[in-house]
Amino acid sequence: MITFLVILSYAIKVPNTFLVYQILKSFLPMRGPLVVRLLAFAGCAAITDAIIYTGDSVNFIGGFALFIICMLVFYRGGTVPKLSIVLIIYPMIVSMNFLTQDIGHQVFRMLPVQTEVISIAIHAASLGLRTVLWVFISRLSRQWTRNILKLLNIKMWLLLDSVCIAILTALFVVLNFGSEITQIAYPVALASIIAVLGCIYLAGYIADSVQTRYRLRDLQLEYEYYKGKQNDEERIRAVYHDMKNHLLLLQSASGGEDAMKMITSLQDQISSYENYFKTGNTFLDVILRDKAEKAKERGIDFSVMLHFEDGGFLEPLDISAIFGNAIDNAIEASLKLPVSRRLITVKANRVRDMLSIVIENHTAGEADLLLETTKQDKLLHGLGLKSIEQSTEKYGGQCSVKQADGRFILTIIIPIP
Amino acid sequence: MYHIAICDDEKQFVRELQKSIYQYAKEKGVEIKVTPYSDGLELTQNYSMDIHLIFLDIKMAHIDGLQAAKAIRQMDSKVSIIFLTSMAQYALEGYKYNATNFIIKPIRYVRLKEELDRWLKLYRQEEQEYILVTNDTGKHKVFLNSLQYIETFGRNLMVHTEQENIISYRKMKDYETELPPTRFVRCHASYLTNLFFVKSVKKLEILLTNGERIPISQPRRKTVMDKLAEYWGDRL
Repeated sequence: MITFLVILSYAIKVPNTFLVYQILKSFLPMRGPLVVRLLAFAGCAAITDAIIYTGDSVNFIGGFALFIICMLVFYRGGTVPKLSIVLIIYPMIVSMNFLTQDIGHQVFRMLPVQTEVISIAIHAASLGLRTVLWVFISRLSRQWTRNILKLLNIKMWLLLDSVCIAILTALFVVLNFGSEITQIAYPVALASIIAVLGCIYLAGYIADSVQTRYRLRDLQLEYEYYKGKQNDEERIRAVYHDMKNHLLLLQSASGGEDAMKMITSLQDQISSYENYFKTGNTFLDVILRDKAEKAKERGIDFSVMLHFEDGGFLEPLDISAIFGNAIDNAIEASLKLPVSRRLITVKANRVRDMLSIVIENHTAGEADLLLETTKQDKLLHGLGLKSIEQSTEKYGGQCSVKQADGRFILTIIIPIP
Repeated sequence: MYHIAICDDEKQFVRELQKSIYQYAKEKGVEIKVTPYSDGLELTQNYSMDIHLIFLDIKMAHIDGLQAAKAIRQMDSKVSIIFLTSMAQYALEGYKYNATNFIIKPIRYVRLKEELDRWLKLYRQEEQEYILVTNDTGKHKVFLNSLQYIETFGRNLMVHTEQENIISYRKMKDYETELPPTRFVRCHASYLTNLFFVKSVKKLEILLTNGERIPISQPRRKTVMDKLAEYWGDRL
């Protein structure tokens, strides 16, 4: 019985360690080789299992030091984020271990019969309780901390650190210089866990808002680019018009045969310029011309039928967010196909009091439809999709995405105010 | 059987397109008849009402494709027209003639297939013409293109069509499964609406073309918008 319980409590330590390991990995990338990973796992095991009693500052500081060393040695990334993660996670481990251990201890002391079996059983139960808590925490942190490393700058990390240092100090003082009655430290430990969760959420929140800001800046840049191009376009159109007339005039003035040949050839050459789009919205014309060129260079069959005179209520920034992103995604997805299957269709029109938009492209067909490729396609489309969504929802509209029969279809409907 | 017309004065192009369409018919296992015309007048003067789809070139010698389309639309509002052009700038005009698309020549097979797939899918979707509503006054034939919406009416249902309101003793669920899901949306526990008649969508309300208002229940709004986007997207 005793051996069973001992084995059980060791077994429970494995998932605990694994969860902590996963949480750390979700923050920071590891260094490559398997050996490093194994060592990191071992380090995690030691840290996760840290035994915290009141008045035992050696274990407290030792665990902290070990944690810092593990982070510095086994993980990639800057020193500040690494130390910050120690500061965020360590109070959690300390509080949790202290709470589960000490509560177990108190329960044991209150029991009428005190045998070794019961002691070990309580120990195992307290470890099991930790597993539950770690599962909960790892769920939350995974949700909150996506891409956190890339998005937070040193200042933000230091801000988080300042909060976490306060928590850690409070824990250290209460645990090591507090009273003999351990229960007094409970509220502090509990508050630490909550505060740390708050910190993780805050970090995620900051990262998210940073990301939004970046996206907006990208859009702004694109918008400026098209605005610049719009002027060019008008100038070239004027030149084109003049040139055509000059050539007609020259032709009627009847020069030599060579001159005539030259004129015809020139006419042919500039006629390709007639490939500009007229959608009823000049800003959209420029975007389409740009994207059509890009698509044609890549051998994509690019077809447009757009009536956008009633789209004037959309801000240019949103027009470029919707069409720019959608067509870029479509082009990128097309590149994965053989040239003979590359195809993009863009359509938009007013229907009743709504604006309907469709952007469609081919994707890998049923035959080569592997789960992985579709996932990747979705991810790819996902990048721009967010800002398309934002731009349509701003006007009470909605965009919906369908992938079937080797096609990716994005449809948008926006009520016209 | 589907009847497709090609109208273009470039003989070589017509031959190639015809060949491609037959190739498509063979691949898909659908029966398609192709009639070539070399001129807009030839097509419009002896216009045959059994044509389902026309590939119409814009630049032709006698009358241009846009004029021909205008004349055809006066005789036949239902036939689908796909314009053929060498310039992209006509993109704007397409919807004026109720065109299915503008294709820039030369047509690649992938584009032809796409257009025909799309057209066939829509054509088949529209094939179901009517449902039967039975009540104590008899059997009523209700055409789907005149059925505006169905609402709960006491313990029964009221079927609203452009012409009349018909009471029905069946369940909403029955109609929801019987009517094509791409064309009708259950926007509210007591309403099933034909997307064709939706004029606009306010926050939690559908405005119909006849001015009536139909409520949307909050959890169904996303579905309503999705279906609406898809419905009109398919028909653009």
